Amino acid sequence: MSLQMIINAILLGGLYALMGIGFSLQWGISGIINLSYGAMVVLGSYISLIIFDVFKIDPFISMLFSGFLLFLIGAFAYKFIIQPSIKGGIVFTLIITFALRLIVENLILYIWSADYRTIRISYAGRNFQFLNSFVPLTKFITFLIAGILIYFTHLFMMNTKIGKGIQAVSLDKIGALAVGVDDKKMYLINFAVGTALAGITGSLWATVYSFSPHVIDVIIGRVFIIAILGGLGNIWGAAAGGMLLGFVETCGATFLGAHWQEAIGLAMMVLILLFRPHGLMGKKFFGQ
Amino acid sequence: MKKATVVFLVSMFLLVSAVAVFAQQFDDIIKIGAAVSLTGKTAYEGQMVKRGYEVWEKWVNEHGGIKADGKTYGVEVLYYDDESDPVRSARLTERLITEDNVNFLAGPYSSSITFATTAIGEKYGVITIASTANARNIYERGYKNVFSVLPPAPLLMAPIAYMMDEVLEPRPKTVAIVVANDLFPLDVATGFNDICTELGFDVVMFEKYPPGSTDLSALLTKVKALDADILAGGGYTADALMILRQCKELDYTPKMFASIVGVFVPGFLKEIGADGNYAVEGEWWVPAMKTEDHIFGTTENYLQACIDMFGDDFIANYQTAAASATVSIIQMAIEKAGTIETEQVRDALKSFDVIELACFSPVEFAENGENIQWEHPVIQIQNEVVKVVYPLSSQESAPLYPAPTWKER
Repeated sequence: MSLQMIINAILLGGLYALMGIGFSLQWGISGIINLSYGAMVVLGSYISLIIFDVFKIDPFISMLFSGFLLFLIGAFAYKFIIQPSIKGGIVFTLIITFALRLIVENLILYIWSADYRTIRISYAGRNFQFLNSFVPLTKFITFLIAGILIYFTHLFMMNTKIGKGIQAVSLDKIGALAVGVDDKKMYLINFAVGTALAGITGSLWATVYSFSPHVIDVIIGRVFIIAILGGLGNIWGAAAGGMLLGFVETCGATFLGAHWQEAIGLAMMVLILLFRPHGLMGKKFFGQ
Repeated sequence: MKKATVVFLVSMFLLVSAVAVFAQQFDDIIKIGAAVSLTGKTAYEGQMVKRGYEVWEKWVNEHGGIKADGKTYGVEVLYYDDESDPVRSARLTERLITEDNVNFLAGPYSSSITFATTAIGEKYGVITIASTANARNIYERGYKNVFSVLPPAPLLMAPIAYMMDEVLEPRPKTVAIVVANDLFPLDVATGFNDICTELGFDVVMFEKYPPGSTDLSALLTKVKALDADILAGGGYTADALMILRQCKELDYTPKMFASIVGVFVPGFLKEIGADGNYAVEGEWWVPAMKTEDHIFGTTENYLQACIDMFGDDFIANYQTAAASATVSIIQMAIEKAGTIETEQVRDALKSFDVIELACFSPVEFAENGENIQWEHPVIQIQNEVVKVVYPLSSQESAPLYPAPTWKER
């Protein structure tokens, strides 16, 4: 495997890692398999697009606004759409989040059509040389930001009162209630944080790839694999799952052929489910 | 009330007069049936096809009609809306044949609908010329009455291969093909692979990738290591954008990137800007073609006729042009046969060598009715403008080859 291949894999894995965390938190902690997650990522891309078109603001800056707006959307969706449906069971929440996806998708189609869009930042496509290989500049920046955000999310969960509260309801809901933690509020914040991460991922995605509503399915397929590989509700697990998927896809394309790229990721998910159902870094008490 | 009655009577008089004048001008009328999609999921494409038929109908009636059987015929195209539904289209085709007594059928939009309607035409022995249907299964049923204006998908990139062979200096030696594993792109890429091999190019890679892929860095790293002269393939617009963008990121400059679909789409240049320069693509037809026939005369006349009929903003696309070609070919076959009788017209269609058309690329029918001509245009993006670079007869600009490296641009 050449150095160029390793660089490709690391950079791809970085974006996958960030992409997977929000979905993993929502599934593992709030107990919601959020089928609208891909649509929220793509919505983040379009928010950055419109900010770029109107104000010429770089997506690496507008990602903060995408994150904030998607946080609010996530909180609203959880409070008024998802939470009331939780009593109906997992199938009901699946239907509700799928409906949410359709609403967002059709809204995007209505406003921007199905055409593929690209944010043409001036330095898109640039690279720098590292030994005998090339590192794409925007992918490198995206990787760094993804790493920083993953670390900040970890700090938020470990060091803040709300983060600890979210962990508490995830580990032992009854115990958390007994000591006065507001479980509904914690689930809501956790879901909104996950949606905010989706929005930021969307902004970052827009700096390196083209996007359209068709991308929603690509993303939802990837986040399922990442969450299961890493272990539900575990930030570092999802990050590891994302990096692993990046490597597996790159190796698959290199050694088996590009048409195996997706199949090999799915095969690995099946193997993990068979031999380590809680994921690479998942612990039994998480998300149970 | 009296005023309304007068208006009605005057309108009726004018209508009857117009019909009488039209009838006097011609000895008889040739009826052509067209069930096209005016609503439903392919309504836009269906409308473009209908406009192609309309512009020919108006032109022919204004330019003396069609002479055959010792008579002068006017033409009338009868339309029904198939609602983008193959079953409805087949039913309407039957109605066109049995109730409206059409002489010929002009095809609907899309292969799937044409597959259904041609079965009806064949059942009643009525000739269908398919305007926009090139799926091979339509022509593999042994039907005698089906002819296609569009060449089959594997020929889409054929003129690129011939351009590489005849025009590019220095002549490329190696070709790498990466293609989305999807029906249409795969068909096109396979055809390109076969023709390249036939012409003596060394195809160093033919690799499929999953449709909808968003990152081909790993595959393109492999292609870069092979250093092929020509990188060909992709799938649709998103694929072309992805390949060029990721080639640049990896500092890999193929001497020419030949795309399957996407480069000619208006959004392509908007999304990629100057990085799209030097990309080439095969098209079934573009308005910049310079061809001739005895119906419209020149492509310019044809485009002007479209503008006169549909307004200054109207730009004929390949669907409109293929539809005009469809009915033009019916006219040419009638003129060659000297009659509108199906048997003789069918024989005339089969006896054509290459049919030159002002409104479309040349057409040549194989025994099964498929168009096997490959001299459709190749376009290249040059200074962010689309230019026809091949065939030489329609060339607007010589192909730029080899492309300069990303750093030199």
